[in-house]
Amino acid sequence: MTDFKDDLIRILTLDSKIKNEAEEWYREFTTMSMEDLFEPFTV
Amino acid sequence: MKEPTFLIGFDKFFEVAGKSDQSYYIHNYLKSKLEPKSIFIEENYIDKDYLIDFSKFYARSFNIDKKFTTRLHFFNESIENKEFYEGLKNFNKDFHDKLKKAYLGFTVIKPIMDRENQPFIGRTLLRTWPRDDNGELREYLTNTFHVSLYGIDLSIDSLPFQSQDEAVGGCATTACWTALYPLSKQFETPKLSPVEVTETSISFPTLERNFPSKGLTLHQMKSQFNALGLETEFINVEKIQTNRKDVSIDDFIGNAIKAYLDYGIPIIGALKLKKEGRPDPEKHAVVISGYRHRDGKITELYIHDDAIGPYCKTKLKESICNWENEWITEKKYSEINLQMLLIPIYHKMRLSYIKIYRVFLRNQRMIEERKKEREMKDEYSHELKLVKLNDYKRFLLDKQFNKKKDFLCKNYPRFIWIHRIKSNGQLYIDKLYDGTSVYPSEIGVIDYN
Repeated sequence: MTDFKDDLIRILTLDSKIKNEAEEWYREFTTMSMEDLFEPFTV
Repeated sequence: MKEPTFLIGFDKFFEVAGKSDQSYYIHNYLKSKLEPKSIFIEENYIDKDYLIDFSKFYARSFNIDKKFTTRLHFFNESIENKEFYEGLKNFNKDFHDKLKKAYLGFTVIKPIMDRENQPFIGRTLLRTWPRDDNGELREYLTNTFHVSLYGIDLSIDSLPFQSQDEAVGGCATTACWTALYPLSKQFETPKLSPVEVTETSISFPTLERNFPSKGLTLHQMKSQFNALGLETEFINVEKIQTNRKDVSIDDFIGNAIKAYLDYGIPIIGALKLKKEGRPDPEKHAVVISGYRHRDGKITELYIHDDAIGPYCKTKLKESICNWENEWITEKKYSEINLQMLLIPIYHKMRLSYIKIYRVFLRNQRMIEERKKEREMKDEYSHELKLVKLNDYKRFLLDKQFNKKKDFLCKNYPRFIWIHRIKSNGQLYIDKLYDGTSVYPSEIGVIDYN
């Protein structure tokens, strides 16, 4: 059990791959269409 | 001298609150779980929000000359007029304590009428429904508000609501107005009246009239929060659903809702409402003000919707983005879809939710792979939390973990994202990330004993 925990703490470190993926997701999920940007909330 | 009648039974609610959609909602909200019995009518109440709206807009209307409102206080005890006056004249602590315990909140009735000739519902603070219900828990976004009723101190834990007044602002204005209250408590930013919210927003102009307001755009909502020194985070919910079929939208959005609301930060939900016979969906903005969950899994949302009411119970249909509430049951729309989240945040909260969620998801997948390799049957559950350093250290004080003294005595950033892993329901590991960093950055691990 302790081995497993140590193993988890060791593997859950950040590397450049996951940092780059995080950046890609940020770009992907924060972009909006022109319609989304300019149409007012009217209801 | 005959004393004026201030206290009436709750059965006379509509005589004093009018018959707008929102007053029906408030009546039913109170009746369904809070057992209201008496209403105290506070006449000539000066409501700051309405007074500002009056001075900036209504004072120059031809037919509106009233600047005072009526405030209705609700109690779950039957209180007689005579008893109340006796309690005022001859200080009676037991009576004051009874009022405090029985207090369910208040609603302000504005002296202006909506298009159905019913009075507008102004600032409203109502007690939340009980937290426990059939093994599930309700978590609400609330702050404590102190209320003075002729010198008697009352208090209510709630989030302000008011109905939409399209003269001074549409749904987006009201959503921003509601959001400013918890933001003010968290980050000491100013609170604005609806007119002031609209005025601040329109520094980013559109071709529409400013007043009467047809509604704000996303840029204008962002502009309003930016003007108060806050940043905003956007999450395009529709895009996640379309582009990432391998990602659970319930998990992605559910964790965002829990993380921000648990911190005390409001979330504005941008909705698309569809109605049979209308070619294009209509856009609507609400505040997500609570959620109900079973062991962390969200089963229901509560929203402040200026067309419905406060803490409106919202059922989830196919996913967390597909809702059912009064828009469908009463107003006969066919679909409510969550299109986007707008989260106003403190400017130093730089690590975005989307980035940290990507790391959180990868961590979960790695743990599952390791479990599989080792053929382990232990259950691991995962939470993503945003915390203030001081609150987190306070939480850790009575916990046992390795290098406790070192952690508590060391400096850390003011905001921390935590990936909390529990093993068989017990605290196991907290993986900590710097919430003030631009990129995901580890700052430590709490290894619970």
